[in-house]
Amino acid sequence: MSTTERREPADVLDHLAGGDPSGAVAGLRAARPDLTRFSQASYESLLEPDGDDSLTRRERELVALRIALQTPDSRLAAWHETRLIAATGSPATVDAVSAFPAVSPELTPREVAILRHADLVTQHPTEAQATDIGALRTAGLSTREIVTLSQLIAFVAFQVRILATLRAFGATGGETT
Amino acid sequence: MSHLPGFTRTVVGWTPWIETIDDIEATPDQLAIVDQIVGSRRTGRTYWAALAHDADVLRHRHDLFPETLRDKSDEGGSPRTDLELSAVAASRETGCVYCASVHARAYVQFGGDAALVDAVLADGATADLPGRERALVAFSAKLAGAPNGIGPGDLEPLRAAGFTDLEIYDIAHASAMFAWANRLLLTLGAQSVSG
Repeated sequence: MSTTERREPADVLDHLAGGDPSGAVAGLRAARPDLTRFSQASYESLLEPDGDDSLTRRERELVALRIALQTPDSRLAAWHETRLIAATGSPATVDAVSAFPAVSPELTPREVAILRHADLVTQHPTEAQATDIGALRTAGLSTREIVTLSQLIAFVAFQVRILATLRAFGATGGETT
Repeated sequence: MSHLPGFTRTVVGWTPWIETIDDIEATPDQLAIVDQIVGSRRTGRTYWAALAHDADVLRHRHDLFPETLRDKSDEGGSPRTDLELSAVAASRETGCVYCASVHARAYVQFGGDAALVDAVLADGATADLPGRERALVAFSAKLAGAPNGIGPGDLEPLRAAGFTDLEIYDIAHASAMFAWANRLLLTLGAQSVSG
């Protein structure tokens, strides 16, 4: 496997930020090494988990892809499309996530409940109610899975905002001083 | 139609819609991370005990969270007050009354002007503010509400107001961290003002 085809770059935000012709993005990230490494560690804890006692890899990728598509963040979406297909998904599953909430045989009722919650928390967080947690329980999620899901959705909200900021700096080239 | 209380600098309560690790037979891992966090912070235990069901995720998140708010004025970056104001602006935009309240108090505690942050709580990005704070609040609120709309042009009002790029980067992290925090507080429990 060549370097450009490696599935996991050392730092996902660097990889997804895109071009940095002036080095402005690299300069900012190097000036804040703890923000850089802690962001990557949170990414890994949610999208490269060690154990298998919470959401599945496929479920995590469905959520991240959905939020990337809805933001929209095309680079992040492409990243998670590839990962979803690797996590037992298929191109048809990607289409189902894109067309959600349209009904699709590609998605289980549990996955539908997860995606519905991802849309709610991403787009209308002030409208969430206790009954929305109840809907996740009815779909079979444990308390631990509900917490993991909530953290994942909220993490991607963080991630897309850092990516937007990095790209703004990359495009302007940073200050000249 | 919102069930949330109005924005305020007074203490807001939070009651989870899920059981916490104190309601179950918690693992040593879960107890350890809550003790680590609560031992170093003055906020209550309930929120952390709710998040501790996934101890590994909480541990890593709690490396990042305090780093985003840490005063970086000695490192060419943002003073604590700017980071707290960014957190308030983002929370006001997203609608998290709890987070806005905690960080409005912190803004004042670290030397910020109470009337200024009260204006942000009342009116968000449309508040009548001095130019420097107006630029900060506008950027943090826009990043919170419309991240896909952020472009190079959004950096210019901050630069014109005297912020360095590293300060803008620090401010963006505070805002983005509250896109994360706001969603946890808004969607895992109920917020209320007593009395």
